Amino acid sequence: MKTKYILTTILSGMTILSACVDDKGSYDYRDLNEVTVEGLQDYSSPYSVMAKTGILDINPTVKGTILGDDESQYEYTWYACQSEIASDNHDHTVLGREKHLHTNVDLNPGVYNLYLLVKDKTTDQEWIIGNMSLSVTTPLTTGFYVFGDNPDGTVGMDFLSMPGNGGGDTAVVNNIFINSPQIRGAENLFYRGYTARPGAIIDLWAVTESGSYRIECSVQEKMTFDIDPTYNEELMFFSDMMARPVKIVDAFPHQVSGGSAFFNPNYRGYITEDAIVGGGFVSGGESYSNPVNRYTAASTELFKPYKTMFYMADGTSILGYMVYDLDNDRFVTLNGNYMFLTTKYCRQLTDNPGDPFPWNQNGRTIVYGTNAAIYSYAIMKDKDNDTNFYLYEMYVYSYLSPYKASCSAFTTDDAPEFDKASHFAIAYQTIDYAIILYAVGNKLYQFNYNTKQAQLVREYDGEITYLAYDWRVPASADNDGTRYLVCTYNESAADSNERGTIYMYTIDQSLKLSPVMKGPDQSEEFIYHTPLKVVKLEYRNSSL
Amino acid sequence: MKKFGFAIMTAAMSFSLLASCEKELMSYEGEDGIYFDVRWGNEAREGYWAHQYYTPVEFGTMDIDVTTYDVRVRVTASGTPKDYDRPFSITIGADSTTAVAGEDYEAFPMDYVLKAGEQYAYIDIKMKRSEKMQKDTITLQLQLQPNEYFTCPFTNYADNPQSDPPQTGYGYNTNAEEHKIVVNDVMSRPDGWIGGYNNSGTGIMGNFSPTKWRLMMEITDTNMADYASAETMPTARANVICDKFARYLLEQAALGREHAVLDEDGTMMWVNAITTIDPDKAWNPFTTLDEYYGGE
Repeated sequence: MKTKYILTTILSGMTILSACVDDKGSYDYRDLNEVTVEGLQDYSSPYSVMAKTGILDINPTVKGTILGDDESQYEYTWYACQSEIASDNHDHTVLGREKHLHTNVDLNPGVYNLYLLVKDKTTDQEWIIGNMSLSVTTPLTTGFYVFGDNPDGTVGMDFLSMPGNGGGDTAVVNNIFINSPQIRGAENLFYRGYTARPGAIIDLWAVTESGSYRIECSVQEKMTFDIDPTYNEELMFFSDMMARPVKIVDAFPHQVSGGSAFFNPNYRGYITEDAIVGGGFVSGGESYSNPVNRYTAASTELFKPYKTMFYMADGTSILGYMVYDLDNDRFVTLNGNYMFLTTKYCRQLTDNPGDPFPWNQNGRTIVYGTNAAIYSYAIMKDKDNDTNFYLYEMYVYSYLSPYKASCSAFTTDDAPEFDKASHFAIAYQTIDYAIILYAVGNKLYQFNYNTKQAQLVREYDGEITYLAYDWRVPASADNDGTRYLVCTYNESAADSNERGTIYMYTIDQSLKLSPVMKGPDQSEEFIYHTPLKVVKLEYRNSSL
Repeated sequence: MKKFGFAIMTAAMSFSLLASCEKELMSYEGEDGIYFDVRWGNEAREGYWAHQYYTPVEFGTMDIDVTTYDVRVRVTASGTPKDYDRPFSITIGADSTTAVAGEDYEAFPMDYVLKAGEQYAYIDIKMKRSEKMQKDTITLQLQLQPNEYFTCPFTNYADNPQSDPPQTGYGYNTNAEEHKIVVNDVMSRPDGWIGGYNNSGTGIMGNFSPTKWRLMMEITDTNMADYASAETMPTARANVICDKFARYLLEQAALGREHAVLDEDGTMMWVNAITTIDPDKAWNPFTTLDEYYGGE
């Protein structure tokens, strides 16, 4: 043992000594190949690409001082880094390993340093080409949240990205919802739109069979979103009149044309399974007082509200809110001059001679209700039969005396299978479009309630899971802003990622429903796929 | 074997070091004194707390369902610990005591023992929340008694300058053979109270009074923490609470004059929701029973 140590010591000493000996050898020196890369944009002209949906295309020229144009000895790696490539304290992402970079970029939105590493395979010599910047933009600004169930029953969310205006092509971004708690049974999704007002609440809610969940929705830094961990039901809903846990089924007001939000908190509220609350005090956090779906301020007895609030949905101010009382089958309004500031309860409405329909239904009940930009609509039916239906057209311009515009009565003889319809859409952008679309299984019908004529528009491969008329998409030169949205689900589709299909239609003055077209020459029907069984497409147009 | 040798050497060195430190220590020859050694203060300043002359029990800062509070008073002996038990006694200072045993506190022993080897002992007293504490501060004064083991020499006790100064809110006395427990149930307006600014009587909750707040918490099943700040008591929550409280006040008023709830100023207790829930039966702030029911 000792001998080994001594040997080691002596050897070490010799090594040190030998280092002191002058090197008098002779060598052959050879020129190294030096690489230059051309055709790249420097910091002053950053590359820009839309995350996931866009293509980053860079094709530089590489020249060597010895090898010239011969690129056979080189390997390439493209990096996107959040800091200097030499820094240890950062993540870098490999974007590609070919000289010609042509790729999708799966990065969160932000600005990155872009590097190209060129390696000479024969000498292992490396050159790092920097001084480049990559701006990754989000495709989640404008388009539709696509909300539904995955094949395993868990809730999923995609985004139908529609940047428009040269911002990129329409595309589906899959799996933007992390769904940590694995919630199941998608029912509804609503987003309340864009506002630049400081302190305003911009929120996204998912409703499922197990409850309601506020979802993260700021797209400035992320591409995937989870349930908002800051939501606390106990600090938002204080009333002990409400059932717990609180399950929100819808909110009001919704976003308006172009995806803008109403920002005045005096208008803001929620419909839960058993209550309507409004006038949230947003300073220091959104919070709500006692429900208003009762008939006196002294009462603690709540009537069951229909899931949709009726109001003038695209105005700059809201002059009244109308509620449908499911327990008593009647339309009532919130009794408040300044909306929720003074509203504690609902008031019944009185009819006038010659009204097209009564507020108190007397044997009818509601099937479907929705809001137009100006008018509100309700499809009603007789309680004692499944053949007689009515379309009410209303104008809630006042909480004291909302206006009954018209009532169109029809039967299942006029509108085939109307009693079996699962989804409805009413063309309400202009009053001349007297059209109800309705879905029965995989069949889409169109019914003109003025002429009482119906026609089968289309039979799909899969069942219709969502149907809506969305007037929030901004109008453009070739689009008056009227869009029918249809989603189907075909369980037997060969590709499981294409079980869900999104269609978009428009309607012309002759009331002809036509597919929206896409492509450079507008020759391709607007059809996009998703693995989800879609229950809601929700418009979004916000960079926040 | 080598290890053993090393151990011996270490031990020898230690002895030698110890030997060099050895010196004759004097034993304590003074009288053993006994005194109340109660210290409290700012949590962050523990270690610098002053000797305090009193222990405050403020039920007004505790939730209304808190009915008792345990006080622990330390008694310390000067001098060295002894290898035998040393009894000591206290008495209640009748002249300075307004607390009544059974009503304001649970009766507790007067005789204690400082155990062999120990330097201090504790006196534990359970104070009881009583109605009179809402109006007056109740005092329980304890006095140590000298005996064959202890004198009570510290009649002019003062802390060293490094200590925080003692609290004087309920009086001050340097006599460490006395200690008093002061108890009250005075509630002050919490930061989350909405209304009654400048004694206007109006606002969501109207004027503040301890009586009103106590009843409000009882009827609406809320607690003091709920009213602690604007964050814990947003307007929406205040409305919910006052709606419920207003219903109670209206119900009581409807039962008749003798059931109407009065505030501390003798007028009918008021919150704003009274006027929205039942405008016909509502009353205004500062309404007297005569004004509401008609003079009798």
